[in-house]
Amino acid sequence: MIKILRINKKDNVAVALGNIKKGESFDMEGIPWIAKENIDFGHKIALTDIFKGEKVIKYGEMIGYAIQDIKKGDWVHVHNLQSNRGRLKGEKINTNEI
Amino acid sequence: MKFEGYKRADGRVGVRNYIAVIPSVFCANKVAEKIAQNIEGAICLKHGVGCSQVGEDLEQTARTLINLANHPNIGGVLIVGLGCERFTPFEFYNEVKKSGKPVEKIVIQEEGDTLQAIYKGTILLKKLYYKASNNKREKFDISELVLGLECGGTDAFSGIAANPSIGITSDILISHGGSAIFSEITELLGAEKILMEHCVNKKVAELLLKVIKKTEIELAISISNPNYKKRSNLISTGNFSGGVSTVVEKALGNIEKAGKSPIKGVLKFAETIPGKGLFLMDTPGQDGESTTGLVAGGAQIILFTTGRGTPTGFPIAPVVKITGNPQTYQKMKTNIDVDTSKVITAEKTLTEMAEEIFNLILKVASGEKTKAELLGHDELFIIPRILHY
Repeated sequence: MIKILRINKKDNVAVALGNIKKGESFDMEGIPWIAKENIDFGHKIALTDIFKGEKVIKYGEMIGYAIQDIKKGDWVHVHNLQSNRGRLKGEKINTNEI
Repeated sequence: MKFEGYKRADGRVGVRNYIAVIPSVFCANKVAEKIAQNIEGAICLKHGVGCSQVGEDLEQTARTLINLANHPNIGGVLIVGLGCERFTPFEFYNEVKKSGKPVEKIVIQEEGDTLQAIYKGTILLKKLYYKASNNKREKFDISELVLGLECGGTDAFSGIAANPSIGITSDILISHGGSAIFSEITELLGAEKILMEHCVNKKVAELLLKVIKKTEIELAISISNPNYKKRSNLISTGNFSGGVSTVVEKALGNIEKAGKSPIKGVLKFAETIPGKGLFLMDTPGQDGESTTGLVAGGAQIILFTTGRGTPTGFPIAPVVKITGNPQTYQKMKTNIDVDTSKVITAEKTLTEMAEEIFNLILKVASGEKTKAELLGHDELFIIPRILHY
């Protein structure tokens, strides 16, 4: 079963250590979990529900905030996570080139 | 612990013994290149700058060229000037001469034309070649080593395996009296708090914060221009594909490569490292420009982590490629020297990987070629410009 890696105990996201396919089960810190969507190798999975506006924590630090409600087990990436660093206030990330 | 290197007149120790042909301005590139082709093993450091620059832009170019020419991996330098450039071949020559390194110069406008400049330059380079070939490797303490810590093509495993491995390698070298420089200010946004805690004193911490803030403001202003909206992301497409979502996430993985050693100072681009230990250099995040700054600053070896996989090398310094991504290693075995991915599956510890990299550094420092060197990769030499329009 594909595993995930939580880097710091404060983190609310973990890293997929293999390509997880929609419907496939994977090991969510000892608990079998069914993937609701594809999560690629190296990408992040929510370990808890993260509500819109809440911090996303990896490496024990804030890497950005949720721009929509994220459910436990969801793929966490640029569609639901954003950082304001290096941007003028109120700007939205451009997703055209992703 | 010892390695076998080349003692230079300025007291530093080289891990390679190149003879280099360096144009003082891009207009001399082709003449310089043809001269270098005439002597086996000579390296030409072609570049795109030197004409009509002013202010800090020109100072940075001059500092980079002088510090590269004086680099301990180079045993002799031929400077090729055009004759009308502001950073003159005479100033360049004098700055290298002062360091005690064997140096010669030719100026195209004085020699007459391309062919005469190539002819004379080849004769001078042959002289330098014979001088440099008398240099022999001797044993030196590893405290003479300066590592440049670079990353390119970051993915999610750079921050988990490759960068923390070289961070520990750097800490091991520094604990033995050696040095390391890390850079890429654009990739530190969001990691200031952690880095400031690593600084030796408040003054260094404030300087570090200042360079990061300056870079962040410049980035924010340039990408907020609606004309550039189409390509305004702060991290690359490859980073996104590799699972990195934000500039802060990239930064937090990036700073792992600086280890836990105290940060002793913040250097200008290409500024010579002033002492032993860990330093931060103010460079942009691009691999080429950043590596050029690190080498010019005195790094004899570059530790270069890559997640997505990049084949690049530097013309005068060995580049050790390290990945944390097992798929990238499988694909790019002929490019990548070290695979740290066993850390992710807990088959190896970060310390074990760091020791493996450290042992490889000792071999590379004593002459063993890296994969980038074997394949002739030399793309990383790029002198950045400072433009304010």
